[in-house]
Amino acid sequence: METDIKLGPWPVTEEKLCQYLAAVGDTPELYLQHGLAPPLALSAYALGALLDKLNLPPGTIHSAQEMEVAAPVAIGQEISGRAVLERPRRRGGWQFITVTYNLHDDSGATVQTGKTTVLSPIANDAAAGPAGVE
Amino acid sequence: MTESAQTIDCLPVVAETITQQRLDAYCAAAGDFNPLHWDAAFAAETQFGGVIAHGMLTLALIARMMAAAYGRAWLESGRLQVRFKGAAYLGNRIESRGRVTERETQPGGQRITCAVSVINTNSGQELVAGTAAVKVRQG
Repeated sequence: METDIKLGPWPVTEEKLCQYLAAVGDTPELYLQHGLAPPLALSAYALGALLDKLNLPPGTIHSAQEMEVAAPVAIGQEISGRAVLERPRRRGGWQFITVTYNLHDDSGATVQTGKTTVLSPIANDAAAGPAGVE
Repeated sequence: MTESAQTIDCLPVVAETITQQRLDAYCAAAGDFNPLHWDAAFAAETQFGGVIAHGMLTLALIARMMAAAYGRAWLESGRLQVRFKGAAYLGNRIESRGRVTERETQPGGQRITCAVSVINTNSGQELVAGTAAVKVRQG
């Protein structure tokens, strides 16, 4: 499994953000008024890309999430990033996979850092569910 | 009144009902097509026994709550740290909860930390729990 992962780039367009905001039940007024992207949208794009790149099995679930804004992201900017996969830990029929990521704008400045932990089922061994997660 | 002068102790509640339409929209918007969120036959065979919402979709209620409470400050300086403790199923109504737990004076403003969660109002179960923080500028 790849341990140093390139993410993006994603153009943070108004159209893309409005699609995200509608999906989560939010409205765009606040974000358009300030011309800034909702921070969690960027985390969502990063996680979607990670799930794709890591080729995790169906049934993988989210266990923990951290996110910190380093700088606001203006609508229209292009964002990309790098993620680092920590060594997976195994518990029962599940594998804990933690990825730290750093998103940056097209000048290379960090705009957001984050950490995602997912639980991935190990084939034929996860029927009981992960300890501590429902 | 500036953001730094606000004295919000309980944050505004944000609520949603989980529907397949919303999950499909989130799959497309975030690029997360895990079948747990759209394939009823697959989900029925997992420990969940049915389709569940994306964790990030559930977490979005907390982000919306912080944006509603702190506006631009959330977009410029937001911070989240949460654990996912349970799943939201189709038809469940979920609500955000938040309260200020700490106000720390810093150069140029205040760092406000909140205890945040998402509750399944059908069962009372806490689905997401953790902290969120923003830095609000003075004046």
